[in-house]
Amino acid sequence: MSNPLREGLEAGRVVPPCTVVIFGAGGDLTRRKLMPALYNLAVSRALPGGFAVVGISRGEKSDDAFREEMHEAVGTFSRKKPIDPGIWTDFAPGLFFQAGAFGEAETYAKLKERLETIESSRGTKGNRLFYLAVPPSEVRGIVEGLRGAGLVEKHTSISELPFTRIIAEKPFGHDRASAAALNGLLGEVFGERQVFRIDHYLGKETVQNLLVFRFANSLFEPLWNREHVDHVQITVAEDIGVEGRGRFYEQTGALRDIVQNHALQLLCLTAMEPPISLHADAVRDEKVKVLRSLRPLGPRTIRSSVVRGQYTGGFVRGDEVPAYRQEPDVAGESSTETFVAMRVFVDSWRWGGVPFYVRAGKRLNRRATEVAIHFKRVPHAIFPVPDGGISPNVLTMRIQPDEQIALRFTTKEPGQNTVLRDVAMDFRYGSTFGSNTPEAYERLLLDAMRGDATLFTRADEAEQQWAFVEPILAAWQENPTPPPMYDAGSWGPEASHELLAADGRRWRKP
Amino acid sequence: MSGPRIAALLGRLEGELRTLRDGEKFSNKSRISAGNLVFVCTARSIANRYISVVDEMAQRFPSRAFFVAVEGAPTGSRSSADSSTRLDLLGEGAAVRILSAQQLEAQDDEGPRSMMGLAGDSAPLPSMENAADARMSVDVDGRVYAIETDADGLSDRVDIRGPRAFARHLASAVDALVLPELPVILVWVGTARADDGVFQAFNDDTKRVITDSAYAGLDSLLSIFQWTQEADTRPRLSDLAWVRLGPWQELTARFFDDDRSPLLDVLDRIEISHAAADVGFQPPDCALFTAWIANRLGATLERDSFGYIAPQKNGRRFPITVTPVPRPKGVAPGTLASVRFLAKSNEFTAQIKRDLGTGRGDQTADADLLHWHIADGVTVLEQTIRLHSNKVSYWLDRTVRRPDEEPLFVAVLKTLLAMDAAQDRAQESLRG
Repeated sequence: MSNPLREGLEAGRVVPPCTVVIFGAGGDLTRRKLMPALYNLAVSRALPGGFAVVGISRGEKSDDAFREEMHEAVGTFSRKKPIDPGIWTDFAPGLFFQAGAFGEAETYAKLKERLETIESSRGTKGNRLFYLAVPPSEVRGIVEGLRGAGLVEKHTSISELPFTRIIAEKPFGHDRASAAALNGLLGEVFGERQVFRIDHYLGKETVQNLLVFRFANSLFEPLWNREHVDHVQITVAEDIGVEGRGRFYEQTGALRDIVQNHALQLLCLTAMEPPISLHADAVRDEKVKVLRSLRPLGPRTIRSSVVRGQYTGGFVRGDEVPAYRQEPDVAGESSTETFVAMRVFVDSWRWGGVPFYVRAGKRLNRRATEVAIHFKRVPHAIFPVPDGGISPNVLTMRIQPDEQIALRFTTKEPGQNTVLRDVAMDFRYGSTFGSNTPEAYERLLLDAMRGDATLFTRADEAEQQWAFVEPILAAWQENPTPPPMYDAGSWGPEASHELLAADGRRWRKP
Repeated sequence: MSGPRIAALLGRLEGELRTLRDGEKFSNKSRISAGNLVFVCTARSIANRYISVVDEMAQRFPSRAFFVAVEGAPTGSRSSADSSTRLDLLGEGAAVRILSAQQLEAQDDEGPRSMMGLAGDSAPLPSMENAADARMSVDVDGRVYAIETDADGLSDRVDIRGPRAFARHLASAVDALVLPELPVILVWVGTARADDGVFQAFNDDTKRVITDSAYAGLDSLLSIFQWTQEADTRPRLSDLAWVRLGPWQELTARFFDDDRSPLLDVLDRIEISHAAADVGFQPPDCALFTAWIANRLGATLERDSFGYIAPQKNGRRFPITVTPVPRPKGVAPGTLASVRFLAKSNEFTAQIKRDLGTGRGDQTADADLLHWHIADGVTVLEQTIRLHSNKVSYWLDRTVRRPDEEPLFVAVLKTLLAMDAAQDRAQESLRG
């Protein structure tokens, strides 16, 4: 029976009581993101009355010690500082710690017992959300452990209660086969509607706003096709290096770390057709259609359409920084790519012939994530312009670091002569809506508790993403020559610029 | 005041607005505006106090903010002394820093607010002629200020002051200065009557009017509501007291989630308490909350000596008691203090209790703590939650970001009007 008091309220969706079980409670993700996000949800009154968190990791510690650690983490990393003692006093008693090795059955037996006690005392009604904040290698053991202890009941509907859900962090597998195997394992234990594959980019406000911008404004959608768009540039640039994660990055590289997930998600949201609704599957169906429409890359096209690179030493934001190969835990002769650029085609009626240029990398000139739609030039120039014609319009949707939408267009300089000038109209989210927007993890955790999977990756989506990048990985594996080098602080190797120059275009400087 | 005088004032203000952002100081500020906010204040005593709210709001919401002080109270309105007392303590307004315009100017370059008074000489304009309220020897004047927003943007504030007799002139001046294409939102500071000429003068082209019934009273709210409903062309109505109830509504709804909603059909009693108010002042928070409950349960409302009775469609009639509790210093009269639901012969109890006055601006950045508690005979759940900032500007910001019209609010006001109408009919029949 529905609750009539809910109708018409500002926060329409109800968060049911639940226990969040975090595997990897001693890790950075828990300290930096998950616990601050949960605390922020408590501050904003978004958590249900019945709520608890159980952190699991190796090494014994008391609940109180865990609470103290989390207090420090929240105090350091929460966007809402200082910690509100009134809220923390209420929040902290809901935090519990359970020591255990993820590969041992005993861990799950103890967890089950603990959960039953907590559920009774905290009124969480048996609803459980398992968060896998662990390396991919640990996932199988945890899923099998949960199954072995009878901690999961497979559901086919999102509305079945009490619910058991699982959040899997990226990277989701390391290639298509491993992603499919992981999906297979999860599929044996959980229903697809119980699985939430996280790509935190999708929790960012501006990424969500891509949908609003496209489908709530009648101005742009009629232009959003091959008739009017010359090409699209997607940039995911970081100015930082591997930040002590050399071992991880050696196994991953930019293609797996950024392109396979974040960049392809941005491409999907840019290129997708209007979904029939905002329902999770309606949106994800359209994204999967884009992934299936991506023109497959064969060995020859990979050579001509994909560029990789690795940074050498250089200067970033005034600081001298080391080469990738000088980073800790990185091989001296490493051939891991820290930069990827590619030309991609979406073979669909809407986008036939329009190139999508995607680049992602580390130690680039600046941190910038954006999608830039470059429109076609006017068909005939009636103005006397000596410098090669009128610049085309460019619509840029910036995601990081400042969320903004900018439109470049041409105007006349005031004066007797007709002198054209490019100007930009900027809309910054922060200027209008303030900068204290929720962190991506707040939104995603809340959505998982509510059972809304719109901003999570579906099984077939994850596999399609791998299916697209796998031939590139295979080609590189067959030809393990070191990638071209680029100076830290630059915009990537020369080959990246040549990729666009061959098409008569050039990269934007975000 | 003659046409040329107004034209001269407007010309000066337009010039100042054009040059306001040209200075080096603001050259890097975002120029995005999200709307026009027109604050109209009808009592000088309130005006000087409210100006800091306008500034805080302009900091939060990039906009052109007009602060219009219409001097000379209309006949029959609440006395300005009463009004300003309530404003001082307006529940959540307790944290508002009250500063005069002169004090604000003195703060130039200090702290987050940067004020730039461009109209250094407020050349006095001739006193009104043939004005009804000759006691108010005031001139029409205007000034322009720049206000840096929280997010590196720039709002501007235009102050216009003048006597009530020139309300139409003042409204016309505002019309000439509003940013085009952007909505005009009227924030009515004080008691309003729909038939008041000043109120109507400022509602010619308004998309939305925002009141604060916690300050202006329920009658004022209902009067304006009826006026807005008379034609589609009228502005939509929002009320800060209603928006402030949001967290209470959310937490109350939470009592009846998770298959507990059948309890709503077997309620024994609802108890509401509020910080003691003046005799004869019907706390709008309590009335709006009560009407919301009644509306959502499909019940009607009847007034009673202890509060209300809510006859439900299933034939049950449960009482809603409204009682005062001691009002701590600094808490506005009528502030909602607690709500308690009892059902199944008190086996089920659910309560939200507010630590009144604990969230003062000088003690914490946020507002009072709420204790949420539910006991159904099997489970006891408790949560401590903090309300949001006490500041009026915070709630104004929340309000302007909500839809222009909320069907639930409209339905709740209709419930209150229906209750009043039924009471009137009953009294008529008694007299008859």
